[in-house]
Amino acid sequence: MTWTIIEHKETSGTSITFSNIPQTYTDLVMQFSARVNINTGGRAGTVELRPNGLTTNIAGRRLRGLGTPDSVITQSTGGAFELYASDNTMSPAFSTVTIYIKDYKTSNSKMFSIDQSAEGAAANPPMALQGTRWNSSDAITSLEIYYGSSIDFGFFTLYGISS
Amino acid sequence: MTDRPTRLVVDCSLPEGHPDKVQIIPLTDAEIAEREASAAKYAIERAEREAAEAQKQANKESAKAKLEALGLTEAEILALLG
Repeated sequence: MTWTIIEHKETSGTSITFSNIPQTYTDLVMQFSARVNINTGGRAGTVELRPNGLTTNIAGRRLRGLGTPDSVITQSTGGAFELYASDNTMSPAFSTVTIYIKDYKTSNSKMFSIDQSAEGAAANPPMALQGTRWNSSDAITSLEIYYGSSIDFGFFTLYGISS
Repeated sequence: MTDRPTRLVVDCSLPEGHPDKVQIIPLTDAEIAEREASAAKYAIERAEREAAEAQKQANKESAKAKLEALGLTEAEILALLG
């Protein structure tokens, strides 16, 4: 398995889109580290995945650990996931996220495996695992991460994975 | 006057240094409206979910107190509630 950096960019504005993604890899991985602006959304900022710029036919389920209470959350619509800061009082804080996209060219549904953790300064640093499915027969040719004002700034890296 | 929101687009097919490689594009009015609606939808969904979680936790604590009043031990209550 070989990881190849396709792009590495710092955020600007309200979203970042990687367009014309090469169709030569087996899987994709998006990794980013961002300073979460929890002032805009309580303890977490919301970020939305938009494969090919679309917001339809995408949903996920999240396993969230915040200490008390831990919970399983079903995201009924959309590709959103929440970025957790270090705790409910520390702002801003960094969150790191890995999104593994298996078989991004398949004509079957595309699966996003999202793994995130936040700064470890709190007694119960939050973390979450999320599985999101995009029900489309189209290959992923672009990927937008829409963060609005949830992120102050961050660094995004898109990898191509060759098996 | 506030600046119009923008989005960053990185064209993976173009080499570094190409003038169109990285573009900062102002959002259209329609895009701004769509994104504000999307953010509002998620905010409502999260508020409803957190209220449900809080109610569930309150119900759990109430049930525990009632079981204690019936004489169940802490271990017996935990075995029931998980």
